[in-house]
Amino acid sequence: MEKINIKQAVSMITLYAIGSAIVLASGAGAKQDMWIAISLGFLLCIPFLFCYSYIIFQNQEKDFIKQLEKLFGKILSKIILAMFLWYAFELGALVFRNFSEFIQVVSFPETPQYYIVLPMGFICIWAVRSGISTIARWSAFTAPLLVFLILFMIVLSIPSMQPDNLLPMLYEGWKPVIDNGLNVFAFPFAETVLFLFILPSLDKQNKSAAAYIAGSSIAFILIALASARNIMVIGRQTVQMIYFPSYAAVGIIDVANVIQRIEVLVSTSFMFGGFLKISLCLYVSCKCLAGLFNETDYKIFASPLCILMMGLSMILYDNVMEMFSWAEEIYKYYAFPFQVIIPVIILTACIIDKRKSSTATQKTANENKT
Amino acid sequence: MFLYYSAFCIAAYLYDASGKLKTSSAKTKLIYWFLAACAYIFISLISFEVKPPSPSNVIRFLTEAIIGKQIIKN
Repeated sequence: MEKINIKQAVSMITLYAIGSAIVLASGAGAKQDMWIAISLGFLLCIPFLFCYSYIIFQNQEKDFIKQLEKLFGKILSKIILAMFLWYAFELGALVFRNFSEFIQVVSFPETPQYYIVLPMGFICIWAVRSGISTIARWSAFTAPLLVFLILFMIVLSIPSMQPDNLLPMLYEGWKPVIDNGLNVFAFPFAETVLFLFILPSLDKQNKSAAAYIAGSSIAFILIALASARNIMVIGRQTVQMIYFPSYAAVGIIDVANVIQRIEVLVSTSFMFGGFLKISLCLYVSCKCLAGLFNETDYKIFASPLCILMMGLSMILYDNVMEMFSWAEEIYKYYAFPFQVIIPVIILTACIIDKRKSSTATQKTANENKT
Repeated sequence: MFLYYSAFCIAAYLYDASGKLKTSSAKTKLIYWFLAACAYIFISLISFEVKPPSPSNVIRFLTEAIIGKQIIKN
């Protein structure tokens, strides 16, 4: 069985969470209070991160699919697997579409999106076929680089920052902040629910909570800093008007006429993050599909599933406006069952199972005594 | 688009067929070729502008029906 260590797990969670969120400005509806909405979203997510890690901690089978079968029986576990298969598959298609829309809007307006999607799909198939340990090693190498790049862009933006843009605080009250906090909860923090399929490969399973919290915290700090930077540099009205505010904010950087036009670094960070996110979604989809049909080898399904994913990304939305309105208005409702309801049901089943087994052990111990 | 994706699909399927799929069980082969055919037909339909209903629209419709209000006013 493939193994990953804690450093690789933290890197994967960080890259996965910042992947598209750092470019797409999740929570932009809160205007100048965006950073509060992001903090609220992260705080809301913490109990669920513990819930996910508890499920992994209780997993003695070292495989989430086997754990589901043990907890729910064959039929119910297959239903849950089918739901996760759809969620991971659709999420992968959504990220594919985010990526192709981003490239089309900022770089190649005349190039059809399928030309952009296909090379990315090819690399993702390759990554999944190489296995989770390869993806994890790649993450451990890339995450520090990406964190440095993002911090570097924030530091270089300091001369263009106007802290007054963050005021007045809570001018429109708590409602938009809470509403956008829920958006940030659903995208990107609670999307880490898919790590239920990945973290059982962790060499020390009692470290899953540490991996979840550390990875998500790093991602939260970077997303909150980047959002505050965007508001301070280009102002709340421009942030709301444009689709990719990070790209615009970094485009303004000009240090002594030497360091300028470095927005390509934003594209680079999105490309790295997007690649990892799509690869992990494809990995989970393949695992779920293999689990549904009791297959042991999941890697063989990577290419047909990825081609289907790319096809789905083509028909998801008619245009970029629809993509953003769906992400802001619908996604939180759509993702709620996958991110909250199903994990809570699994957690409850885990607790009941643990109590049952501890009672049985106690009974046997008592019988042995007598 | 059709040619571009067809070339990709054929290359990917041939690579799989000459590699891992050779030693797989009949059930795995069946699932693989079923998925592969679905993916190819799906991509071909999209290439010829025959678009099936978008899942996002279906999800939007279902969400609006469940929460009982129109989320985005046109």
